[in-house]
This record gives sequence, structure tokens and C-alpha cells, in this order.
Amino acid sequence: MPTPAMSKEELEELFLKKAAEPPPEANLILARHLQCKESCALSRAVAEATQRYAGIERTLLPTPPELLPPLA
Amino acid sequence: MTLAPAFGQALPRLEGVRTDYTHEANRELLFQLCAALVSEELGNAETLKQAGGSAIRFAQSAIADGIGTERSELLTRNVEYQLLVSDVLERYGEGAQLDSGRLAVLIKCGGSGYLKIGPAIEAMEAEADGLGAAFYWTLTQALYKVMRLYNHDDAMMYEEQLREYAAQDDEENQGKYEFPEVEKALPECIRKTLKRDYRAGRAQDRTLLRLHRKGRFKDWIGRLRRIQQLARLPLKQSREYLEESYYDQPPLPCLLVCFKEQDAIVACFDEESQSMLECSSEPALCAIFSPANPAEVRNAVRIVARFIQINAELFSLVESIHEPEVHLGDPSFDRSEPSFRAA
Repeated sequence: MPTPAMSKEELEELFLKKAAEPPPEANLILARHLQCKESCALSRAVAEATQRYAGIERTLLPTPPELLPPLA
Repeated sequence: MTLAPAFGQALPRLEGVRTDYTHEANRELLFQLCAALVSEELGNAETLKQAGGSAIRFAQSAIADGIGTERSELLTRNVEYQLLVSDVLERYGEGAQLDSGRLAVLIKCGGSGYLKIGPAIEAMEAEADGLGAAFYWTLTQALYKVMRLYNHDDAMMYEEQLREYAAQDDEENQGKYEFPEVEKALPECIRKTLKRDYRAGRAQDRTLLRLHRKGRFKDWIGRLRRIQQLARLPLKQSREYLEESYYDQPPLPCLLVCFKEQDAIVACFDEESQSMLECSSEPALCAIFSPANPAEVRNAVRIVARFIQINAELFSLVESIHEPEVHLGDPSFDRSEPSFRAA
């Protein structure tokens, strides 16, 4: 995290250094995902299904019995 | 009443769960953009601290700070603009990656501003013959250089089209057409000067405005002069990219200029605006630049700054012209409705 005392030149240099660094693995995975048509279609389908679940077609899922608090 | 204690297993705990994710494809462009913004005095270390170290938030805040809160609020009150910096430009109706290492700064208009200029023209004409018309024509010509307007010209073209359709239609359908009669709705001073000689008219307007620049309307004339000066700056946008992009129509108008509330121009605009959002429109501003090239960055910053400055001058002028009627509670100035409709 830079301190507010950092000069204009230092900040500029910081950004240029970051620009020259190789992208992190997580970014590469996301970039690959965003460039893959099937992957984007799948995520769209999941998002739509989530919206339907939260909307009028909401179906309540049964609570798993092991999550219920013990009565005694 | 006794409340049961919270049962830890029934609901998952949110502590430690990330609430946002940031991912950047072409992240080197984003960092180069941030460096370029810093070099143009947009954003500093404090901005980065407030952005929590996020480069995207830094770029957003740096640009927003450059625009300024006051100007941003003025524009939000009057018009709907969206500013984007992107490595993708719409092409054939789909996003297409720009050439390697290049970014586009775009301003899109989603709802036009509204200027009812009739009362101002009337007041100026009462002061001096031709002053209102000189103000109108000078403002129109200056704004044409930087943005699309919807004014009497567009309304007259719409009417002409409508008359052509009617002439081609069957005899029994003729009664169904209602023509807006735009020319009749214009103030006398504008109608008189519609077909005048362009050069002679401009010279006459300039003389009249100069004569009255220290008079009763000095504030309006002063703002008009600043708009003219800014519009004259030779800043070339990247229109060639837009021409290749096959947008369905030119930019959406940034300003509707009418003379009276619900006059023929507003009627034509209402008709035409119904289909304006149905197809793709060119952005109101487009500048392509490489963040690694300081000259291109400076040019892009100047193009955006000029557009914002002109809009700030324009909408300050609009608010000043509308001020007496806003005080009287005229409902036509209520812009809380977000649809693409100006009046």
C-alpha cells in the first residue's frame, strides 16, 4: 500500500512496474474463462437459474436433518 | 419470552468470505492507464489509498475527481452521460477487441438535455432586434461542432419525411397523417433568418453579440463565448473507428432545443425518440489512444476535458435560462424520469 507522501513520479513508476509484471494465475484462469464461449454460456445459465430461484419460481429446498438443533 | 440462542451450524458464517473479486484481462493496459492518469495529474497516492489499492477503483476515482463533484452534479441534473474506458469497441453490433495496446475512451448519451430557449430569445429580441436570433444561431453553430443536437432542423427533416411518406401512401390513408407544421411554430426572428446568407448572417450575429456583451444579457453571452472558444479548439476525435463499426445511427442527441413547452419540435422529438434506443448509436465522444504514448494520452484527456467543459458551460447556461420558470414550479423541468425523453 503506498503512503500519501509518495511523489507523482514514484506512483507512476509503481504502476508501470505493475504493468510489466506477469499476470497472476487467477487472472489467467479468469481471462481463459472469459474467452471460452462454453464457459461463458454455462455461467450465464447458472446466473439465470439463480435469478429464477430467487424470483417467482422459487422452490424451497428441504433442510437437511443433521442441521436441526438437538431438541434435548 | 425467551429467545433461542443462535445455532452456529444452521447458517453459514460470512466472516472471512470475500465480498468482491477483481479480475483484469489485459491488466497491463489498466496499469498503463493508471500511470498515464497520474502523469496527467489525475489521481495521486491519496487516491490510490482511498481506492484500497485497486487499480480499477483508482482509475474511476481519478477520472471522477478530474471531472469534479460540482460539474458531475450539474451534468447529472441535466443529461444522462456514461463515460467508459475500454479495450473493446462495438463492431457489427458485438464487442471487438481494439488493436493491441490501445484503449478507447467513450462518452455515451442515454438521455438528452432539454433547453426551452423561446423565452430567452423573446427577452433578447425585446432588448434589440435580432439579438435573440443571433444568440440562437451562434449557440447552435458552436454546439454542432462537438455534439449532436435535436432542434428545429431535425424537426423540419422529420416533417419533410412524413410528408414524403404521406404522398406515397394511398388516398384513403391521407387523413391519418398529422403534420407538425414546424416552420409555423418557430419564433418570428428565427423564421425570418432561416434562409439568410450564412456568412453575412454570422458576421451580423457576431457584431450584435459584441455590442451587447456588457449589457443585460452579459452572463448568457459570456457563457456562449466560452462555448464558442472551446468548440473552436482543434481536437480530432477517432471518428474513423466509428465509421468502420457499422453503428445503426449517429449519436443520440445530447440536447433538445425547443422554443415553447410541447411545441412542434418537442412533438417531433417525442415521435422520433421512441425508436432511438432500439438500435445501436455511435457514442457522443470517442478517442482511441495508447496509454503508453504520452502524446496520445494528452490528446484523449484534452478531448474529454473539452467535452465536459462545454457541457458544464452549456448546462449552466440552460439552468440560468430556465431559472425564472423553475422558480414558478413549471413541471416540464422535472427530469426525474429516466427514460430517453427530454421534456
